[in-house]
Amino acid sequence: MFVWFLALRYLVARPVSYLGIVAIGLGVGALIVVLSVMNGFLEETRDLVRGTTADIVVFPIQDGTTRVVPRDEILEVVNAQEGVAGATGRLVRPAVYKLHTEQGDRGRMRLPDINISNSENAGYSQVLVLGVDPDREMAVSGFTDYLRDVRSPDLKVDDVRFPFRIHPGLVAGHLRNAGLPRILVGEDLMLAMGLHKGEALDIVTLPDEISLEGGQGAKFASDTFVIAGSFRTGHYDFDTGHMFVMTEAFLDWSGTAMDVSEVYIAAIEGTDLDALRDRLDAALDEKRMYAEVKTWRDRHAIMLGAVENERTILAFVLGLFVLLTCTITFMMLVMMVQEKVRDIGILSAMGAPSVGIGRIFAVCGALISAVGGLFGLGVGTWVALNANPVKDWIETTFGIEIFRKNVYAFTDIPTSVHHQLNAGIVALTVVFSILICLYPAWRAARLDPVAALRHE
Amino acid sequence: MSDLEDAPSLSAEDHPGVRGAAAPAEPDAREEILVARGLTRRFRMGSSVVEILRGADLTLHKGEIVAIMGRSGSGKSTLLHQLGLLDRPDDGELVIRGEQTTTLSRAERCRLRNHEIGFVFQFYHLLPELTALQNAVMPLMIDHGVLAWLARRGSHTRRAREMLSELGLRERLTHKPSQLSGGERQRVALARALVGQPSLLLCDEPTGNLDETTSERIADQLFGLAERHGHTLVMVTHDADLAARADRILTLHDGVLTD
Ligand SMILES: Nc1ncnc2c1ncn2[C@@H]1O[C@H](COP(=O)(O)OP(=O)(O)OP(=O)(O)O)[C@@H](O)[C@H]1O
Ligand SMILES: [Mg+2]
Repeated sequence: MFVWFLALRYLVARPVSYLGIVAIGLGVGALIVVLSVMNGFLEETRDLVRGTTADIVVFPIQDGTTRVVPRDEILEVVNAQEGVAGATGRLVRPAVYKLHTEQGDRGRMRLPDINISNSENAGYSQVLVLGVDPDREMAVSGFTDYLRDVRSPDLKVDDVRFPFRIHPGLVAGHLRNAGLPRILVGEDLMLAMGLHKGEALDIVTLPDEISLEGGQGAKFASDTFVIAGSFRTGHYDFDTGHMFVMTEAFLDWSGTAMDVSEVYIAAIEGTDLDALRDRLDAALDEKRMYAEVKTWRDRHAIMLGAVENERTILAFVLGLFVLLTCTITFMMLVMMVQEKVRDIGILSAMGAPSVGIGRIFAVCGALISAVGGLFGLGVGTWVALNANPVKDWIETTFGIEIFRKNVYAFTDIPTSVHHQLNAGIVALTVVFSILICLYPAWRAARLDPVAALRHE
Repeated sequence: MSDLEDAPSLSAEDHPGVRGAAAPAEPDAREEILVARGLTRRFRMGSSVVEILRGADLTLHKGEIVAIMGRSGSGKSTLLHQLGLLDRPDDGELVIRGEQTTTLSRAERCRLRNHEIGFVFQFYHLLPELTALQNAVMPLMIDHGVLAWLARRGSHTRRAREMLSELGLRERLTHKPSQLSGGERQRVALARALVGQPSLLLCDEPTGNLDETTSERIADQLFGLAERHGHTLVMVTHDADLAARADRILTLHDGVLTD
């Protein structure tokens, strides 16, 4: 009994032990928060990537040396594969844009980035224009959700089922009867540029090598599109870097001879994507439709790998930090044994077995790390679960910005708390502390009682 | 001071019978508590070896009170540590209540020390974080595991409290050693030494750090309790008056005990 009694007494009586508890708590807490945020990042990034890409994408190789394969032929092969739930073709072309202005509307050069001969603005004015077939797109990707998730009511499309329609009354006066094609612009970009529904953009691109006018030298393909509304995937980079137009409008505008750049495929739930990818590749090859086939993981392997790698590095660094705090406990115990030499002699004189005397200090170490670990678990879990209120509080209280949404592509800090993992961290901390506290405990047990009693 | 009332009742005069029976005329009639033969202890000091005990012999009977005197550095404390099983002799043997201790394991020696031996030191040696009551009950706590302790906590604590009350410390139970005077501390130490009802009480200059009046009172209580409970008492002291109250006075000189 004296072991537990004295261990508790010694702990409570010494303020240093609270320091050890707090140190371990902070270490464990920080590790838990960081792991939760990194896991949240990873999972959210995965979700985002998944949300803006299809399960599998087929990129037909159309470099002019092979036959230009019509979209419908590819779709036929793709749809015949087992495991494919749906597929749609997309056209893709990089382009620059500027606000369309008419006579009388001059001076309304609001877009600050119109000057593309400027590295600052060039980035913003470059977008990927996607030519899509809305009905098929909705069946395969989260297109409908992107349209619904728009937050500003006056930027939403008129009718989600027909996203490229816009009420003529909303179109700027001089464009109203021009029969211009429509375009969907990401909400974040519209907000950043101060764009409105019904305004028009001039979209300019270079024609590709296999365009209809091929061989006539470089000629700009330019067209004016009316903004029919906006979309929001939640992926900041995607939302500011992509615009949707209808397939027909895309073909008219770019003058390309191919009618598909990529085929987006939705797989049936539970299908092995890697196997389906290989099957698709083989099937297309057989039909002499040469194409690259990639799963969403293949496409974003580097990005996801980078986040995963970052998580590993941070976990490693903070793990070391936790080990460091464990060594603080170690040093505290070494000091405690030194301070308690006389007590050890007294206890020996009362007949306390040396094993019991050693255990007093081992129990001290275990208690410090266990209480500290649980404290860290509590605080860490709480902070991880309330990451955003905590972040807001810190930002308003200290006036610093700790989370920039345009850097991270998220508006909120994503967290994902894995309770089992966290409990494991605490358990490991306690086990490690006990292990390294065995040394001071052993020292205490080995003290010669007579020398301890003579100790000044 | 409550101890002023308590002290006389514990003094030797009230219990003359016990010591009377301990007259050296027929010592072998009583149980041998401790027998030491040829205890030898050497210390290595750098390259030389100093022999502090050179074959000390000692036989103690139940209820006997023995004073040990000797020059400073003659090895009195060393001898007490030997008798109390805190240290092993380099040579010689030590039998406590019939048990040959030289062959016992470390754990068995601890158990024997806990059950049979109580120590009182010159500098009290209380545990500073604990109250008087917690200090006094510690030997009993050491003797019990968690469950056994919880089952008998009440009676053990009562025993320690009674012990302290008997020594006039009823009002001091929850005081820490730092809040007690020297005399009070030594009485707590006395209570702690006696709470486990050991057969042998080893005191190393128990009054060496106290003023004369306090010394006398502590000595009265010490002798009184030892006689009443039948403890065998070994007391190292430099105080000739105190030593004179013992049944026997031994002198440690040149590593041997002589009458
Ligand atoms: N561990 C040790 N190593 C070396 N020498 C020691 C050790 N312990 C004791 N001694 C020596 O043994 C001798 C006796 O010491 P001890 O403490 O027993 O004397 P003492 O008779 O109790 O003296 P005092 O009356 O001053 O308390 C001293 O000279 C001391 O230096
Ligand atoms: Mg001494």
